[in-house]
Amino acid sequence: MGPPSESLKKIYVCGHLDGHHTKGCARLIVEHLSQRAYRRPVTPKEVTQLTSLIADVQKDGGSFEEGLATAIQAMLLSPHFLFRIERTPAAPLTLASTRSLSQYELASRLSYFLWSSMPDDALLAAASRGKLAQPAALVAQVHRMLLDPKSHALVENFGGQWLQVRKLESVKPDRKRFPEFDEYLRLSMRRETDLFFESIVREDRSILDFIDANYSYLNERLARFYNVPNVSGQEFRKVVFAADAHRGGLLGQASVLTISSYANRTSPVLRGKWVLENLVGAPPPPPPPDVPNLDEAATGLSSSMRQQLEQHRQNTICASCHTRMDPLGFGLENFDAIGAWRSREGQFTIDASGTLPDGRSFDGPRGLESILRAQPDVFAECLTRKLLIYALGRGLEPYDDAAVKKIVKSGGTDDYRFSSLILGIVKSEPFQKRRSERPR
Amino acid sequence: MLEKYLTAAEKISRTAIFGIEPLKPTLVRLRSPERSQPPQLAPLTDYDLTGLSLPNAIHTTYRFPVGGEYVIRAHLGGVRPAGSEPIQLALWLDGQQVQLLRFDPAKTASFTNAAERQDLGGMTQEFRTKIAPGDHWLAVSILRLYEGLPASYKGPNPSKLPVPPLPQFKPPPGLSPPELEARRKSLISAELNSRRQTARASDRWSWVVHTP
Repeated sequence: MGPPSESLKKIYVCGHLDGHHTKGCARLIVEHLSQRAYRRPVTPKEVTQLTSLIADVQKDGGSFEEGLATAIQAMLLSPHFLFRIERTPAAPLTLASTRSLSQYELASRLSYFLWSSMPDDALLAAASRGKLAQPAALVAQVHRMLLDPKSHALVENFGGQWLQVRKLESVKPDRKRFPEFDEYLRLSMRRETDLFFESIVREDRSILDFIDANYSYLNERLARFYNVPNVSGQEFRKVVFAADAHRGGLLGQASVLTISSYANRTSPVLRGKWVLENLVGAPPPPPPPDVPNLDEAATGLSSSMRQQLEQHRQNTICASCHTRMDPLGFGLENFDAIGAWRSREGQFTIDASGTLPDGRSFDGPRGLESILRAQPDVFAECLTRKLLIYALGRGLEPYDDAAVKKIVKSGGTDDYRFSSLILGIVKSEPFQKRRSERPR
Repeated sequence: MLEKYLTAAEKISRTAIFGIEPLKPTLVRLRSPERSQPPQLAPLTDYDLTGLSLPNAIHTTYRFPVGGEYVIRAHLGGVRPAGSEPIQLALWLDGQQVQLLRFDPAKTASFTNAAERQDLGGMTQEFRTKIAPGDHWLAVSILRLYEGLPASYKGPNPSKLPVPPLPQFKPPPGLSPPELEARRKSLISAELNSRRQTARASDRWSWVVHTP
């Protein structure tokens, strides 16, 4: 089966789809294709090298098409295709300094950030006109790209990494304790979080919805699991929760609650750590060696999880971190290890209250959400840092702090809309500039 | 690594110019965690009619390499009581039902006593559907699992098919009363066991996916 004609039209830009090529066709085709593959204008020398491959194949008796396939193969093996090369300035620098990215480098950063793919014609055209870095052009491109279906890659790749929901594929809740958990529920949990994230991107909603949105995306299976009435059928749809529902925001989603639990029980420690890492941006240090395990067999029988952890915190070394983690996790104790609502754990009534080290106290998931919502800049900074790391493909350094603060501040003036954070990032110095290494 | 790059680049460049090479059918086996439909002495009246949330459904995600028509085979297991109506097997793609098959186990050969139950063990049903390339959520379930059972099971929409008569128990002559009683208990036990399993339509599925 031959390739589709639309595909061939993109290759044979000379217009000779019938194969009757003229002398200049090879150069024209190669120049066009290599420009797309390298995501920048190509030099005459590069075009000559690639075109000579076609001639070599033809000399050996091959057809023009076979020669072109060899030239395309060479493009695909070129470092200019395989890597995103951002050249350092040719002139030697005496001090570490920064330089602005070229228009084409900026186009690549944008497209790999938002689409996990190469720039399209519109982006490359804007770059070739030299207008991509202009604020108005950048805003228009970002809005266009976020609305494009290709931005699903941001949801899947960034969302999967940030929220760690990819772990759902490998979790194995104890079947005896959680007979409700099956493949259908596992896949439904993941789909809910994907659709929820995607709605915030597509509808350009406030990122604070991640904390306490009053809606989510459910099918019948998940709705039954959440005890949400009037959802029938297998299709996922937007569901607005009643005021007394226990769901809303990421902390009410079974995906997040399951990946932050053990197979047989909840873990306020894991959940507290998850909140600190992903919503607050203040991850605790790794635990010291030789930390004794909790007496799991006793949980729910002779002592509650809370009582066991209180005992654990009596150790002053453990307390330094656990006083930050545990209260956050306690706030989610009404959700069992697969995210189902519960009011008891064994013979103990769930106590979902918590007191933070700064003295603020709350009760239950709603109370925890209120605490997080009360400091929107804290969550905005956490998410901004994670997005910036993803966009740059490197860890952040102290010299990035000023840019992060600026993005968060600017987002705050726009109700922390998702696009305001993205725009803040793409307009920021770390995104638009490149730091040259200090010469050794 | 370099070899893989070379091979991939050659394949992509030739596909761009000459089109997709005819693919040999590829067989992929996907297995769900083994989950049995728990034995039911009485049919449920409130349950998921789509079967998707019942333990005997299979759910999986699979990355389909190219768009085309795929053959998906579901391997069945379990039993239904004799006299049950055919089952309806549904194929679901990304939450949408894309195909429905009506399957009558009574019309296939079986080693079990057809007067007692329909045995689905070892039987295969084949779906054919067009699937776009990329990741998809596939599921196969039995629709309305507790419908179409013989009227004696008191389920919803009972079967209108005649129930084959059970073979009559004729004790061999010369048995003592205790021996007769033991035989009688054994027969009742077998019948009860059969009834307990009546709603267990499938306990394990595997998939066979053919790329076009």
